[in-house]
Amino acid sequence: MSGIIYLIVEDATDCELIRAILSAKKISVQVKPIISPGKTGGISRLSSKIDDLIRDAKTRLKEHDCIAVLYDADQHTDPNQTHQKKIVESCKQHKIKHIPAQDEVEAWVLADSGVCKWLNQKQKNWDEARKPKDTLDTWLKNNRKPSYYSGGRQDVLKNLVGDGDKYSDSMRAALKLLEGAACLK
Amino acid sequence: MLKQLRFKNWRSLRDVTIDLSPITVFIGANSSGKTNIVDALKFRRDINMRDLLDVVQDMGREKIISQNTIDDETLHLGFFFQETGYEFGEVLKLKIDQSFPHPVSLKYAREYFWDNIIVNSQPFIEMPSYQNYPDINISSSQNDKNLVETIANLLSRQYRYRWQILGENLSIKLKIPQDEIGNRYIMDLDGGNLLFILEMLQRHPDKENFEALIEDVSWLMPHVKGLQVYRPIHGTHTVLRISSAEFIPEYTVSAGTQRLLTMLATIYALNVPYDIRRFDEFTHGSIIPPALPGLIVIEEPDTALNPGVLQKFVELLRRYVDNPDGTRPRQIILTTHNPTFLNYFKPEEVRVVERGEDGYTTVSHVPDFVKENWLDEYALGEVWLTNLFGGTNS
Repeated sequence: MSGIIYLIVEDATDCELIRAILSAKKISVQVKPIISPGKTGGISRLSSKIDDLIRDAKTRLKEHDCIAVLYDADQHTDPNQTHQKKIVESCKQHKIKHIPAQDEVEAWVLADSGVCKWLNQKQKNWDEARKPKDTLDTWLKNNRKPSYYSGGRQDVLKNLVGDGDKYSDSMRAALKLLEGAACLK
Repeated sequence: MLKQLRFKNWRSLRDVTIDLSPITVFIGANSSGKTNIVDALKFRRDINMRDLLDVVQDMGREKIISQNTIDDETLHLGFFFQETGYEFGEVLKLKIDQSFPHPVSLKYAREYFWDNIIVNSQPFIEMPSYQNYPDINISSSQNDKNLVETIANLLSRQYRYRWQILGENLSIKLKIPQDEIGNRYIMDLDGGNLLFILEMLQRHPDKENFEALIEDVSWLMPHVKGLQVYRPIHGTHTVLRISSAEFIPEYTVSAGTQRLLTMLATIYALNVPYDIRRFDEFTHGSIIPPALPGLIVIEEPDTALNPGVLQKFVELLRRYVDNPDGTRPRQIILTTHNPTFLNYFKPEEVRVVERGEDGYTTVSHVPDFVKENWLDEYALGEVWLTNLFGGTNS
């Protein structure tokens, strides 16, 4: 029996994306977001609150549920990786799975055959690319679709087939981590 | 004060107990069951005022009972009150025959409580066709008969005259035909009788309530300088005139102003002595005084109100509830989806309504860790959006 994955994220949209990928891969599990509070700050906000979020998210856990933390690796924009290191350290301390997305979680969408076909692109690995969100937005604009930042995201999620892990190493690693989680057993 | 609700097999509330505060705010995702709680209160009030079978039929008999019931498909609705020095309450039990064609076939039973002890328990009896839910049907010994009568009267007065319930979808009319009639004390669920209540407040010899109402509306919406329910002598319609610099036509009054006015009129109506000899031919009572506790239930009160007004609106609600001299005890129950609105409430006033995978509703308090770990830095609405304590659409 599968449980609920409480996915600690910077933003609810990251959770929606994971939910869409798992659904496209026919992995039956509920994913509920725990979103770091406040409106600005992204990963710095998440890393500063990660211990509190994990501790309080644990109060929601029932049998078969689990917690994971999803965050953008931001290797290009934050070479020191200060916030990422803090998140990893906290996850280890609390024995929680942590899922870094290279460089943003949208890199997994760029590697998806359904999205590539829909937006006339060739499927490949985008883990090393800078700002995958912006790339995705450019693809949408080139195909005269609504911007990723204003209504286009929903269409993108509809076109996912969930096979980005064929090319994306970070997505493959993330799925491997999740498959080992108690909530998927 | 209404202290606790206990539901079994009522719609999505399969087995739920809810503790209430002087102000209680229910938060939850769409379809979580907030309206089912409000509807239970409305159901209890309505069966005191209308034919029980009709009320069941109106609500949809197949819709009021949970899909997979417990306790032999008996529906329980428990209402427990606490007043100075004593507690009382009742549990209504209804068995509705789902297979029986119209008219609805049902049996009912009731337990009366005094200080948490059952003082009278009636067996199930068949509901005779078309009559109000009987207030008193006492099969107890003479010793506790007086006590049971007291409880029944206390409950009946509360439901019938002191519960104001305003739904989410309002249909406010600021112009009505002069021959139209409407309730002048108890607001309709859709606010449709606003003008009758405003006119009652305006015409009451004690002008204090009407003036205070205008003052409160003006405090929140400074463009409103005055109100007048106007019946032209040779006219065909009664209209509401709102003055800013001058009287403005009723059709230009904004949705937010109308909604605010309806909410505050609902509250102020409880402040006027209610002469039940004039308005209720079936009751041989007297005047319902403003000092009798009053309950105001408002669904989504923040709808159509500017976020800048919300804080002052909550301050106003607190003023009505605080009641320092004890002359007007009031209790308020609200529902909301709005994190900004939630920011102005205390965690202990909030109840989180969630619908589980099984389709049933649970109601919980905001966990202690919210106050201990988060509220120094973030507002309650912001913490709610983290989903750490549930009740969001995510």
